[in-house]
Amino acid sequence: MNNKVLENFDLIMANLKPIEASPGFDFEFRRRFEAAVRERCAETAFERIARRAVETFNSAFAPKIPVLIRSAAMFLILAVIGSGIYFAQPAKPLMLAKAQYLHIGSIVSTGNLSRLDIVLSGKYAIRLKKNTTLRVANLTPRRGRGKAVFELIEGTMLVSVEKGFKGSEFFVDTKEGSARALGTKFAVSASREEKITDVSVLEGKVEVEGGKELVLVKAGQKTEIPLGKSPLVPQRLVESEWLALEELYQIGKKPQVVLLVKNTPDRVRQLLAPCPIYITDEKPREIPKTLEEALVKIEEAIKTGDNQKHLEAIGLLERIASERPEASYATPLTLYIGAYYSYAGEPKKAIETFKGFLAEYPDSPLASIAQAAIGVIYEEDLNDEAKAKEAYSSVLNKYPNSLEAIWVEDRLKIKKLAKLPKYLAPGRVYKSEDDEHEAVYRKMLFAGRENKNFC
Amino acid sequence: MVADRASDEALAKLAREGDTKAFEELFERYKSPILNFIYRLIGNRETAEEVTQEAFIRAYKSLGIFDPRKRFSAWIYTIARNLAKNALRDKKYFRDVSLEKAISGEGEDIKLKHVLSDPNPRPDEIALDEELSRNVQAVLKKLPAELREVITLCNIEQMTYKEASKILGVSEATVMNRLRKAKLIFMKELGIDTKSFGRDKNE
Repeated sequence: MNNKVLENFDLIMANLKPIEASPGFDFEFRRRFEAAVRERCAETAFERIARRAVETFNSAFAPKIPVLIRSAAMFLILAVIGSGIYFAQPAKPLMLAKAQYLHIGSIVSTGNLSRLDIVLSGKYAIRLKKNTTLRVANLTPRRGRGKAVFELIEGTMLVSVEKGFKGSEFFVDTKEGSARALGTKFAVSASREEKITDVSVLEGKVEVEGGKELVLVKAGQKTEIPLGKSPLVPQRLVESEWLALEELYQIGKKPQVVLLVKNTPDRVRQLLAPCPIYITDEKPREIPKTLEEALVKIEEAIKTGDNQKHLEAIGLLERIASERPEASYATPLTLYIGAYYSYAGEPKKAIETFKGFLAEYPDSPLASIAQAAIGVIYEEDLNDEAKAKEAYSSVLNKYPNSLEAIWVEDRLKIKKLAKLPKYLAPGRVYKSEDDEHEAVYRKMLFAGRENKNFC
Repeated sequence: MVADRASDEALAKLAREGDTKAFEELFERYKSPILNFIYRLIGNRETAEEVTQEAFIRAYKSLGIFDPRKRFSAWIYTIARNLAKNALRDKKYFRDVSLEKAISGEGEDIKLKHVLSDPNPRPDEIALDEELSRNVQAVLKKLPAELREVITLCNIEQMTYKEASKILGVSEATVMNRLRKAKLIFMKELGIDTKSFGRDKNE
């Protein structure tokens, strides 16, 4: 009997009359679904922005390092990564930990799996790469004209000297020579085996002395000092060296507004894509609240596809940049505005913005990008080859050591060889007796593709 | 000739890539079972409809994380289940909505008791009987939520223990145990003597 009840139970449940949806159910769902589809299309643009921002930011910038203020005579270790770090003073190795003090005469070494950041807030920041040994040679007291001298015994160190150290002196000595920073970002490598010191400069200048000779190494250049000899004539950095120096942006004071471009020769293409702009949360906060208004406007513009809204957003950004042209965010923001104008179909305004940038900030490390951007817009948007050529020439003349110079050279070389018979179309493989000829075609094929990494 | 019907997972993959028609097809396939599933859990039609729509919207928005190697049905049921549980917890949902009259006490569930005791019940009659359906729902409402779930999935939706276990996130043995317990309590609610019940024929 009871089994029968259970059987009946199963039968009842299996044959239970299902409820039907009410008449308006489908209509209401479709309405909500369409809204979700629209939202998803708008989100996709932002997701792409976010993804690119995260990818680029992660490779260009490390997580924030906390900043502490200490006297000039000693400073704290602020970030310790890895376990193979030793503190020898005078010859007793100890494990270093965060928030530990270094003194004059201290020797610090990193192991194979570690690196170390040493920061004097607002003054300078140093990163020791793996297998590096550094000695704190001299630190003058705060009252006097500041002087920091480090002896790089072996390995590689990155140095970022901030504006707050202006008027003071920063030296890195090695066996082969000495580098004096002139307000800058640079790297020094000393090899015991090869008995050679390299100095590469990302921004600013470094005076390098060796064998009683002095050379000035500018941004985008490097020099080598062999033991007992004078420094070599500074050479332009190659692409891989630029990329290796990108890490310099991870130490020291970080900007509040960052253009997310990688330090590769096609920076101008990345800028004009347009590249994402990243607002960090570095304190104290300089950037005004109007930026939030501008970002809302940009969001509206993307959602609606309304170019007028894009132009309104640009107007807001221009207001922010012009209110305080001396602010640190003004330079990246102005470049972004130029790229945005180009994106919004206003090439003349874009050029005007980039020219304004060059007039206002002629010594900015970003100036070469602005100059190259002018060339690209003349060439591709305004079809003015003569003006484009003029702009590109300015890149080569005024910024010969920049990444943009490498890019322009490549571009001009390709364009020269591109004046070939029409039957030789890009994209096809040709048997050529001239290997270089074919190689250039393959390069042209790659360079001809538009950089649409933004979306 | 059997029509060539795309699998749920293939449709989900297409929908993820932006094919809205593919997602609409999925909606058509699952709107009724999901609506009924949620209705059985929460016992209110209006809320069940709202939650059903929300389940599909959530599924659409989360397509990016759906793994097409897994069953779409299990995924949408899981979303629906979670939303139904939230709805039950969130008293706001029911504040302005008229609750279906709960059947309690002797006399009002006689029909259900009668059908359960019938040696020859007719499935076609059961399928058309709205009153019986309401009776069942009223008794189901008295069960704890996790027991209601297993009855709904295994008995009403006719899922296997394996399928139900994937949705509920428990083992098949747990599903079986809960189902047994659910049936016993169901019967007790109706005043049916359960002392000498044999094992479930499906075990």
